[in-house]
Amino acid sequence: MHRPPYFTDKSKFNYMGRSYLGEFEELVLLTVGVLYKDAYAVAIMKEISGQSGRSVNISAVHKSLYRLEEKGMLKSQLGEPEPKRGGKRKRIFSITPTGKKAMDESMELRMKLREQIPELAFKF
Amino acid sequence: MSSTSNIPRLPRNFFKWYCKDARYEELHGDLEELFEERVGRMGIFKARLFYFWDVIRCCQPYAWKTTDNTYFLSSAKYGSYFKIAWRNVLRHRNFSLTNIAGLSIAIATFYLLLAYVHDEFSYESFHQNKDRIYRVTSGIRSSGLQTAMSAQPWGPQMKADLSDVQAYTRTSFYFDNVPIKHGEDIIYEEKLLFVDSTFLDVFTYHIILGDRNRALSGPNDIVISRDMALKYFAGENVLGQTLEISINGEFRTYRVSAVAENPPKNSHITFHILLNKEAQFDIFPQFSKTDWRLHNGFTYLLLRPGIKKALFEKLMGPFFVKHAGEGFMERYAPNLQAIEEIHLHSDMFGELAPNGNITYVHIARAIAMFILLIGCVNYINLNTALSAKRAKEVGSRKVFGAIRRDIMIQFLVESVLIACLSVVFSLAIIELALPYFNDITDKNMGFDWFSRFDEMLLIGFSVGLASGIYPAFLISNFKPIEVLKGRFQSSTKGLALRRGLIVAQFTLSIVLFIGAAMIYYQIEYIKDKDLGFNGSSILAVNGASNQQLGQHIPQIRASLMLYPGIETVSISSGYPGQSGMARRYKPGNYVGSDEELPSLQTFYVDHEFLNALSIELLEGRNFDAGRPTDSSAYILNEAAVQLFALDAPLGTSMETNLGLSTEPQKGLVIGVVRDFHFESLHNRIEPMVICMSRQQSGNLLVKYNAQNQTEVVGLVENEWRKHFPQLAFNQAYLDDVFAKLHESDFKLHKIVTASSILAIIIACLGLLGLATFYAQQKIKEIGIRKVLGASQFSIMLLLNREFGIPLMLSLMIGAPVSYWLIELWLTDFAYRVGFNYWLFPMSGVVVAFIAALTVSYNSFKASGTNPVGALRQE
Repeated sequence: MHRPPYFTDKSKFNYMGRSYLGEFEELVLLTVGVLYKDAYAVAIMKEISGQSGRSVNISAVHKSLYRLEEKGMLKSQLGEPEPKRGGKRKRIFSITPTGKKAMDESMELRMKLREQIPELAFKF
Repeated sequence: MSSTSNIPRLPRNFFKWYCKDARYEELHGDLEELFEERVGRMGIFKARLFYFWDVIRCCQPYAWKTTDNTYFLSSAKYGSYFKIAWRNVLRHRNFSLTNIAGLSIAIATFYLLLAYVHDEFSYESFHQNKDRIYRVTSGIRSSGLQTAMSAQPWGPQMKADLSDVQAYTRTSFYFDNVPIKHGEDIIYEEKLLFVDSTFLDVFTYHIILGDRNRALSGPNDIVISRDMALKYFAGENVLGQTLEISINGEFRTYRVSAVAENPPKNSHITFHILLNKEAQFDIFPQFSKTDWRLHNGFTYLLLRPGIKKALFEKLMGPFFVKHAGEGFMERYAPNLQAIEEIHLHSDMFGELAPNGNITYVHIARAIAMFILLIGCVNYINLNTALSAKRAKEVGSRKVFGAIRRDIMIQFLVESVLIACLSVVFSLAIIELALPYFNDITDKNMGFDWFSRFDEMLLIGFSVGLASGIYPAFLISNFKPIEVLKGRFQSSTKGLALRRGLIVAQFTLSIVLFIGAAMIYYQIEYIKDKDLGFNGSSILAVNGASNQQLGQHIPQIRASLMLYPGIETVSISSGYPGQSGMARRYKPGNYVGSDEELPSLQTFYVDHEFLNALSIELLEGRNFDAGRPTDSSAYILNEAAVQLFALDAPLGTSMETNLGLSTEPQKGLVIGVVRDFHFESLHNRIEPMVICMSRQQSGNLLVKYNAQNQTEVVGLVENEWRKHFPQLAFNQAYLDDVFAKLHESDFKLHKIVTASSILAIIIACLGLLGLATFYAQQKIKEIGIRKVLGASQFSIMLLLNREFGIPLMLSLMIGAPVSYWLIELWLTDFAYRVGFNYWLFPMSGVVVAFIAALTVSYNSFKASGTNPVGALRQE
C-alpha cells in the first residue's frame, strides 16, 4: 500500500536531544565491545548469560541491538554464510564513537555517584 | 544441513510471515543456530519446543514487516481519529443522542443482570476446599423424596470408618428469635447454628480473633460474628466474655472462644453465632444422637484430595448396611452433593436456606444478552442508514491516500467513543436503578464503579467494536469515483440487513412482551386461585415449644375471645406455607409391610383449626374438644382418601406412629376435607392427615376482623408476653407466608416486565432514528408527490409502510418462540393457566401501536412540510 511521506524516522526520537542507555542495553553494548570481531546476537546472548548468570532470550538481545543501532551507538555489517546457520549470514555489530561516548558517560556518572556516597551510609 | 529440515514447519512459516525480508536472514539464522545447538544438547523434541517459543518471543516490532509499521503506530493519527470522531458525534447530534440513550440503557440493564447472575454463581466459592466439600443428602426410596438432611451418627461414623474423609461437620437448622441477655435488656437474635467443633476445618470462615484450632473446643464455647462482637462487646476484650442465651426457654451461659468475620452473603451458611453441637444434645435431651434413620440435621464432609465423588458414594452402601442394618439401603438412598451445587442446583426437602434457581439465572442471562443485542442493533441500523451522509467524506479521504484500514479504524474509533460515552451514562443509570434492582432481586449488591473501571471499559470497547464493525466495513468499501461523481445512492446499501435487524429487534421485544404477559397471567392465577382455605386476617405466632403452648392455650383463648375483634383462636403444628410433620399411616384394610407405607404430611391442630382457615368439610364432622376419643381421630383430605382408595372413608380405622419411639396409636377417620393448597402451586396437592393434639402444635393462630388489625396484634402480643415473658413474639401473617412460596415467581415477573419495557423503549429509540432518516431521504419524493396532489395521509402511509412489514414478520417469528418458552416455564407448575392465544394479536397490536406512534411523529412532520422548501434546492 501507499505509504505517506510525512512520518519521521523513529531513530530521531530521543529525549531532549540525548539518548540514554537502559540497563540491559548497556550490558549488550559492553558485550559487543568484549566480543569485538565476533559480536553477533547468539554470541552476545551466550556471553551475557555466561557472565551474569541470568537467562536471556534471543529476542531481548535482538531488540536491544537494533535499538542501539537506531540510536547510532552500534553499526553493523553482514558476515559470511555459515552451514550451522542453514547457510545464512550473521550480522556482526561493532561500537561507534557515539556508542563509546555513551558508554563512558554512563560509567563516569555511576563512578561519580558511587564516590559521593559517604562511608557512614555503609555502616550497616 | 539435516537439522534445518527438522525445524517445525508451522512456527517457521509464522516467522516467515511476520518477519521483514531485510532481517529474515540474520534473525532466522540466529534461530537456526540455536536450534542446531539445542538438538545436540537436549534432543529434538525440546529443541522444537524452544524454537517455537523463540519464534513467539521474536514476534516484536523490530522484526515485523514495515509496510505500515511506523505509520500504523503514529500517535499523530490517533489524535486525529479522536478529533474527527468527536466532531462527527457533535455534528450528528440527534443521532448520537439516540445512539447513546439506547446503548446506555442497554449497557446498564446488561450490567445489572450480569451482576445478579455473577452473584448467584459465586455461592460458596470462597471456601478454600470448595472442590472437596460435599453435603451428605438422602433420598427416601418409597416416595422419591430427596432430602437435604441426614441423621446425626452418619458424620462421626464416616470419619471413623472411611479414610477418604479428611474432616466432617454437622450443622443444625438455624435458630431464630433467640433471646440473649444484654445487661438489663433481652435482645432477640437470628441465625444461631449448632455445629461440630470441626466446622472450621471444613469451611473457610475467616477468624479475626481467637485461635482457629481451639474455637468451639468446649461444649459451652461459641464463635460470634464481627457484627455480634461489635453489638455486645464494643470496645472490650471480646475473647473469654460470656453471653446468656436461651435456646429452649432457659438461659445458659456461653463463652466466646473466637470472633469470625461476618460470613459472606453468597453462602447458604450465614451464621451470626456458632454453638457447639454437644450443647444441642444437652439442651434437647430427646434429640437422638444415635438414630440412623432420623433425618434431622445436615452433614458436610471434606474429602481427601483426589477422591472422586462417585467412588466415595460406592463405599457408602456397605458402610450403611454395616451400621444401620440390612434394610437401610432399601429405604434410603444416601448420596453426596458438591457444596457449590447447593445454591442453584438443589431443590430438596428441608434445605437450610432458601436456594436460587438455575433456570431463573439462565433466563436473566439470556435477557441480559438480548437487551445488549437490541442496543447494538440500534447502532448498526442507524449508522448503516447514515452512511450515505458520510460517503463524500470517505471518498475524499480515499483520494487523499487513506487506505481502507484507516477508514475502518476511523469509524471504529467513533463507535467505541459512542459506546464509552454510553458507559458513562449507564453508570449513572446503574447508580440510580441499583436500589430498585436490589429490591426486586432481594440482594444487597453494591456498585463501586471505580473498582469496576476495567470491566466497564471492556464493555465499552466490545460493544463499540461489535456494533461498529459492520458499518465500518460497509462504509470503508465505498468507491471514491462513484461517490465523488455524485452518482452514489446509498439507501439501498445494507437495506436487507437493516430490515433483518429491525425484525430481530421486534422479535425479541415481542417475545419479552408475551413472556411478561403470560407470567403476569400465571401470577394473577396464583393470587386469585381458590386455595381451599382463607388465609387473610390470620396472625400466626410461634416461638413457644409445643408443650408450653399446649398448656397455656385454654387461658390464652379464653382471654383473647373476650375481644370482639377476634374471631377464632387456634393452634396447629403447620399451616399453608409452613410444613407440618411427616408420619406414616396404616389403614385397616392395608396388607403389606410397614416399610412400604409412604409418609404423609400431617398437621396437628385443635378443634378450631378448620374454622379459622375456613377449610370446607366434605363429609363427617370436625374434631370435638369434648370427646376424649377425638384425640386419636383423623381427618383426611381428598388426596389421602384417593391414595388409600377408601370408598367409605368415615369410620375407617388407621394406625400411626409407626417406627417411632412412642406407642403406635389407633383411631378412626371422622371427616374428609376438601383439598387445600398447603404447598406452592408448583406442587400437586399431596395426601394429608389432620389430627387433634394439643401437645404437638407449636403455632398460635388468631383469626381476626380485618378492621382491627393493629389493635389485635397488640392484644395478642400482650397476652403472649403475659404467658411467655422469656420468649420472642415471632409473628407472621398467613397470607404473607403463603405468598413467600411464590416469591421467585414474582421476582421473575418483575425482571421480565421491566426488561420487556426496556427492550421496547430501546427498539423504539432505534426506530425513531431510522424514521427521521427516511423522512429526510425521501424529502424530494414527498415534495413531488405533494405537488402532484397526494394527501398528507397517503404520504404518512407510505412512510409507515416501511416498518409495517418487518413488524408482521417479527410477530410471525416471535409468536411460536414465545409460546415454546412459556410452555417450558409453565410445566414447572402443577396448577397453571392455559396459554392465552389472544396475546399473539394483542402483542402485535401493542408493539405496532408504539412503533407507529414513534414513526408517525416523523412522517407527520415530513408530510406536512411545504414542497417548495424541499424542491427549491436544485
